Amino acid sequence: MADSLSVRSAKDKAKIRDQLGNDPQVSPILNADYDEEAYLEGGPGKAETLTLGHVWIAGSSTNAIVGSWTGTQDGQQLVVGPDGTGGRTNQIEEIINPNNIFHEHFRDEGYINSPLTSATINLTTGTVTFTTGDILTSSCIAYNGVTTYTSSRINPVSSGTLSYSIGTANSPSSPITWQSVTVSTNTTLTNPNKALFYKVSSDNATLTDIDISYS
Amino acid sequence: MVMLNTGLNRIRDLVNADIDKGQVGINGTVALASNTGLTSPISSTLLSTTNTISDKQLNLKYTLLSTQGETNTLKEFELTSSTSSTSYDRIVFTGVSFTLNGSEDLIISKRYFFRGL
Repeated sequence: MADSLSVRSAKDKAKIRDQLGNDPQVSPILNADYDEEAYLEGGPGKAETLTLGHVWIAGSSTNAIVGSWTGTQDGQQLVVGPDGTGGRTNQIEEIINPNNIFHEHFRDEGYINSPLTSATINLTTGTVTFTTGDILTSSCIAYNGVTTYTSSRINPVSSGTLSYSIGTANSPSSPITWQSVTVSTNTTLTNPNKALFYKVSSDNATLTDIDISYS
Repeated sequence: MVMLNTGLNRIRDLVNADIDKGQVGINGTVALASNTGLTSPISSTLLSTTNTISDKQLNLKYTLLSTQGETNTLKEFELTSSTSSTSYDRIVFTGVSFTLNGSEDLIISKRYFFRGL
């Protein structure tokens, strides 16, 4: 307060003394700044083609050829593709992540390989629950058809003990080679390749977020 | 002090209401934050997106049917607002071959997550 008074005019000082006296009791005020930030996190961008599978196309010189009646219910049907495909198949062309970091918050199953996942995923809360022997396997998380990735780093948010692996393959649909990794550690990939995957396993744990950086 | 999920979801809803179109182009120069849209857009590919929301997340899906667009190697994609003409995002691909009236549809998906610290 004394410093404040010293820089004021005599008229101002008199006014302040009238209000507070010559020796006012003052208390320090803690002016604390708390940062609060909101992020718009860009997730993966995926380009995929939806193409014709093993279908029969009237008038086509290649897809209208009728073969032998083999492997059908009574030998009188023409099978034009595997059951359940509807004659259409998805093929991943590229998956691009901003700054080469894949983020997963488990709000959708777009990057989950469901047939190879036994852990319970709650898409409402964004939580993956592991009980005995459960596993979470991703689909391809990074691929541009050209770049060979040589290192990766996993940063999860979890409780309990989880084991992590990074998988590499020549393409999103090629056989995967898995490698165990330590969290929050840059890992040199023993089988560098163009498509990346991840896998998590545990006996009793939960997982809510996972970031995977790569180069 | 903490950013509340309700606030983050409100931001998500505002973005969700604004982004309604996607478009592809043929220029593969590196995407920069200073970009204002596609470098070489194909005008016939400006199409509506399908948006889906979940807690603090927005998923967007763009579909280019085999009967739309033009035959070309597609290298860039943007998400944009038709009301404000604001481009939100530009993704650059190595190159996806697309044939007009061919046998393949092209699907591009993108997701955003809204997080507070």
